[in-house]
Amino acid sequence: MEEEFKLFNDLLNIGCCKLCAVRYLCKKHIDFSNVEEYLFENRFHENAVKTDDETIYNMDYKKIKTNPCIVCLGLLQEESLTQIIQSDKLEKAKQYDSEVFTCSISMPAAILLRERSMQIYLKSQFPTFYKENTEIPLNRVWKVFVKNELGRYLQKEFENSDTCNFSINVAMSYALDIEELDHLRKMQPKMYLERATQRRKYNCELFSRKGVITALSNTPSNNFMTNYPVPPEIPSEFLQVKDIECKHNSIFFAGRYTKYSRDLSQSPWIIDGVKTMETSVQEIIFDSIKNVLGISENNLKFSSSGREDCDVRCLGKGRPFYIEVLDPVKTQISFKEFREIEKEVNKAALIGVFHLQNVDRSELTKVKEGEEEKTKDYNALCLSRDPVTQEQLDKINVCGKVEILQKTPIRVLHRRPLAIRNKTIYEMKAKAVEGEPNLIDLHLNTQAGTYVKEFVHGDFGRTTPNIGEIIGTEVDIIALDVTAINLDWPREIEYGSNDHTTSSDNNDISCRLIFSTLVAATSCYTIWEVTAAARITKC
Amino acid sequence: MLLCTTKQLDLNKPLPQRNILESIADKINDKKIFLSVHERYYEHKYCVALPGISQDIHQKVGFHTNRVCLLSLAENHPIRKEDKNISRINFKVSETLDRLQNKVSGKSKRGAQKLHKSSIICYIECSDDTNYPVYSCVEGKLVEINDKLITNPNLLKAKPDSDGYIALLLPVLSMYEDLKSSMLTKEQYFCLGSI
Repeated sequence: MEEEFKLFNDLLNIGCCKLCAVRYLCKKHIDFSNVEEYLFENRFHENAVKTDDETIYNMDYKKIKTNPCIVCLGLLQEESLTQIIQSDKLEKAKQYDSEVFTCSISMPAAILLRERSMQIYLKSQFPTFYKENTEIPLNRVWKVFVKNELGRYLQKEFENSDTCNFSINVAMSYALDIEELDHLRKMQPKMYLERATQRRKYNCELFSRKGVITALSNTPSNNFMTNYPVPPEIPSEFLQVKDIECKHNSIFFAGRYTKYSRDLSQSPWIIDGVKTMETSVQEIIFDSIKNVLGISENNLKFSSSGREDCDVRCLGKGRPFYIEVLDPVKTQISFKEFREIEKEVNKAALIGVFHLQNVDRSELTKVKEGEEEKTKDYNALCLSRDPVTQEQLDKINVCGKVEILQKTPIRVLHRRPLAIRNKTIYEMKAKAVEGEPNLIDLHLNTQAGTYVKEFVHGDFGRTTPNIGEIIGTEVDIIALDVTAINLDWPREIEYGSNDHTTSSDNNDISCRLIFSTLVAATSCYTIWEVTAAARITKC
Repeated sequence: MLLCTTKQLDLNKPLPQRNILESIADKINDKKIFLSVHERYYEHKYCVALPGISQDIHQKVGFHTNRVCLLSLAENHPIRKEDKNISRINFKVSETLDRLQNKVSGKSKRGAQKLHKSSIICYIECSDDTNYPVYSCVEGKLVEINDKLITNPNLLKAKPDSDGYIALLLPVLSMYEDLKSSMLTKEQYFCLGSI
């Protein structure tokens, strides 16, 4: 202990702050949020060693006029904590609804220089003590130092960075940073000459943090000592708050969407910088989220289990999708708010959104799985060059499982690599359409990733076998609906039973559900009817 | 229940049910849907002359809306017009260059054979000993040769606009519009034939 008392007093004597002095005691178990207790219990007060001439450090180290610490430049002193708390840049952290926070610090590189100087000093003064001990890192102590105060101010609980989703980064600047770092030029003239001349390579930054670390590790102690004071001099300035950045990890919403329009793409379709369609599934959903939750579309990312063409409808239960919300300020979204988003989406009646909910990041892999593994059901309306015979329909119906080889469709060849893919059609059911001898009503269950349009018309023989080949005539596809995406995700929301829903909400939801099933059920019939009419008019 | 639906939906601006039904009707009424695939998605243009080539060329280029080009024989090509019997299609256009060795990878079709307008894609050899070169007509990349022609060369005549296509090409995009306008329309092509 004797050595430690001596060390502690010496550190204070040369101008270390109290926390830095304790850091250099190299004791991992010390609770830095309450060093007083440690110091008191271990009788640091009583054992303060008198210096030769004065006794000022005896007992009263608390009362020493505080200079900025020679190592941390004030980072671990009340001064900087007050500055952080009073900074208006911290205001935005309060807006986040997260109940927990973690924090980190970006320090000026001059601190590295000073730490090195301290290391050399202490190794020469206390060689036995520093042979095996290393000090507690500055950033770790800073976290402990600020977390309680910061937490009280923000009314959030501090949490470890590996589990916490909301982080606050405080960047501190030091007015004399460049001036002090300039000593490095004398220590590593060659390195810094190169850095000064090859500006582009080093991004115009002479003293990067990484560069300073390299420079210091390449500089032997004697070189360092001739070019920089050991121990470091007492600085004239405290650190200043430069910036405070807040960031919340993404949260995710998931749901299913149905699409009733044949003139609507899934994502905005932009050719040569011009949007070709007024809106898209993504934009409708984003707009609704913006209207209800006030989240800007710039912070939203849309992903789904596959996609349908703009002229293909997606009916039945719809397609699973999720939305990543980047840096969310609001993370707690109520059942009612989700229902309001759904209601908002349905206003345009182009698409429907159901089962909207919060999901965990770990669940998202299921969507990609669904994209590759799950089967999809389709209903295709096909047009044959010649009137369709029962025999031809039978040919389709007895197929059972069909393995097909599909070259990348010409339709998407400009944006996909050319490849031959092996896909499976699990089941097909073909029916005649009453009053329409050239039409086939085809129901398919296929492996995910099958290009159904090409399976019908054959894409100039690039998909084989195809429907045309199977029935021995030229066949084209007129209309296509996705009727099911057989992926059980996300979980279904129970609309009726939740207490939070008002009766009018309930009513509306059930109506919409009925509405979507109705459309699904009648749609094909409608196509045929209208087709029939159209054909007759044409004739 | 249905009444309730109507009432609820009335509150939201458009009438969804009507809307949806009408949109299908629009689509079905559109005569485009009764066209075949190559008519629906491709704009066909005719190439009759190329710089540095003295004889007439009777070729057709189908421009897909996504700018992929489909190369085929035009209606007035001697093979089609005189219904010649094709004995073989030779894709080895020089000692060192075999179009069947073309390999592309990735979205941008890396490694594709580069083509000029007058690059030869293949030679069509007929049973009457005539031999017709097929030109690229398009400056760009060779994406795919129709490999069905190797075993069944007469597809060229039988289904010239669909399964009998010769090759898929990806034109240099900066020259795309110029390329398209440099070729003849169907009307122009047939007018030319009648003179």
